[in-house]
Amino acid sequence: MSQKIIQPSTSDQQFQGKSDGYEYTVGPKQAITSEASSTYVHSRIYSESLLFKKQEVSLSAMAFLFQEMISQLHRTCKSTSDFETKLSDYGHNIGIRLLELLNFRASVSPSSLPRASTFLSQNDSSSNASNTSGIMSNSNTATSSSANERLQEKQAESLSNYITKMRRRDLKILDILQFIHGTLWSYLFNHVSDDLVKSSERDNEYMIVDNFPNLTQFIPGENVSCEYFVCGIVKGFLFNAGFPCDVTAHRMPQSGYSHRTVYLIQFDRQVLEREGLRFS
Amino acid sequence: MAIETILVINKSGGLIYQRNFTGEEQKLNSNEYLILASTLHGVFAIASQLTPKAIQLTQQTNIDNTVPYIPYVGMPTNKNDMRSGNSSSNKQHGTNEKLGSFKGDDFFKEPFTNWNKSGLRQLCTDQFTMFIYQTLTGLKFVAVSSSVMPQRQPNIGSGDKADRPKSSSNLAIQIADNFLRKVYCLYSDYVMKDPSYSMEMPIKSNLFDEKVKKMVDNLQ
Amino acid sequence: MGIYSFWIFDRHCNCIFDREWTLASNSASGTINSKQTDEDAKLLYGMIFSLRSITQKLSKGSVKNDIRSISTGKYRVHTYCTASGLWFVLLSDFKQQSYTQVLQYIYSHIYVKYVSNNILSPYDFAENESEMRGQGTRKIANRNFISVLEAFLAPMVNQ
Repeated sequence: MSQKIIQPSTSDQQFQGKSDGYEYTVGPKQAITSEASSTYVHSRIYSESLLFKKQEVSLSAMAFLFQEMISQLHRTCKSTSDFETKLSDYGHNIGIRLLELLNFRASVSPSSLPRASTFLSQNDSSSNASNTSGIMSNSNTATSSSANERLQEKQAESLSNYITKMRRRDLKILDILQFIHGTLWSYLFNHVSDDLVKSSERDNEYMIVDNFPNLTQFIPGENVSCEYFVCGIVKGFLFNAGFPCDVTAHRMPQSGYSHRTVYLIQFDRQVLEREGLRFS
Repeated sequence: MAIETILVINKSGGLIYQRNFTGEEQKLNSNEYLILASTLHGVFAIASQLTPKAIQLTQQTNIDNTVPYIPYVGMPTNKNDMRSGNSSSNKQHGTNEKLGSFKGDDFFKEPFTNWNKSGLRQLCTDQFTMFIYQTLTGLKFVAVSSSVMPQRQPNIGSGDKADRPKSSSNLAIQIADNFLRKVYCLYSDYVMKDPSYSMEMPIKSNLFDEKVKKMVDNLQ
Repeated sequence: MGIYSFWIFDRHCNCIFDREWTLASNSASGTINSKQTDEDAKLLYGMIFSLRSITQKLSKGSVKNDIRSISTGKYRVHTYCTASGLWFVLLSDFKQQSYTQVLQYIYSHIYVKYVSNNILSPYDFAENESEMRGQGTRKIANRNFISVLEAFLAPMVNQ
């Protein structure tokens, strides 16, 4: 704790203190001190409960990571389509996993949640700076090992205890799209997507509209190639749910939203055939 | 305070951004602006060499380099609504849409240290005032403002100058520092997070351009 | 401390007078026409010269756009340029703003009176007419000029 940490990303000592605005230094700072001051604490990322907690990732950190992904791909790819495919593949892997996670979380009915449970309330109290909540509890427990064990026990409490009935798999195109429009978008970007439209020309085409793509907001120009990461997530999500499709991004600026992006989803023919056989 | 020009000079004295906001024709061609930038960069270093002996002797450490926070410099003018309904309306305001990765209704809300301790900070001429804000990494943000420091009426009759007013020019410097620091915030969002930008090279991001323009307009 | 030093440059880019105060408590402290300040004088001249070239490039119309003051985090430089190519330069503390009138007064009431109107004083302080590189130069050693200037500036030193 006594060590002073030099943070090259901040130009200002003032920010090392508390601030009521955006605390972009607090998160990493605490993570480092907790590691430096105690013996190595095993990452509990795998044993943590899947239960939904409000945790925010620093947009700056994410933007820098994304930026590096883009420039890395940019160096290695020869053509635009190559670039888009590879970026989409990155997202694809995330989408596949998200289907499981979000389905699981959506199965927890709000009434069955034990609000009075100790570990929840503890998390609530420490999540004022919501993005640091996990790390905060980490550094707290590092001080005494017995408390650590107790907490780990609680953390290991399975989410399945709260699930009385699993959510049914989405079988209809519209249902799964609604799930993307609402749940997936809220999980990824903290807001539901701005529109969900069915194409009037082709019956296998649907569009999800985001007026202000969070991830690419700092990237200038009309090029939509960088949006293919999100396309990949959607594609992987749908693919894993049994709706093989192709997702492309198109920029359609509207007044006030120069970055408005349309994610065009083209389902494979077989999906439509199946839908026709089963539900008509 | 109407801003006429904004320049960004990188740490080796190269001009990486230049923009006029007056709508007039450019006074200089791009080459002349490059020379201007490197001249400023050089003079900046000279200025710190010239610190008077009196200051060196007394080792004055009491010069305060903290710039106070001046609320909502260069922010949209509906700030009153935002301030009153701060806690409640913050979420629905979609703060991300406004300030990039910065949360809240302003980029920062604390006083900050000016790292430009002995270099050039302000240049007053008959026609304009130039302000320079230097970051810890050596990047310089320069604003040319059309406002001119008020010139005192000549009141020199006999010899007594004791009533010479401690003027408010420092307020202008503080406003300029607050403003340029916000431009720096924009830089950190729209330039540093742009994958196609390579360090120390001219800034071509139209988003940065737009945001700076908006901020300059808000200031007027 | 109110003011730190005072300089006069002529049209040959030479420093022809300098006065630097070192102690706020004692307005008689410091140096007059010192050899030690030669380097400072050159730097100061260079700084003002460079900035003048910038401001004149940026000026609007045909009006000459002269520097009034330059400030850093620690001190402020006030300049006053005359038509004859003389520069009067005053270094003051950071807070003070306009010394233009003071410099104007020094020029019109002290310099003109005790240097220009003095038949025995050279009107040009360079040693020969073609002098441009700052080698051979004299300084103002006129006793009347110095004493009047001292009397005028002394109250400002510890302001």
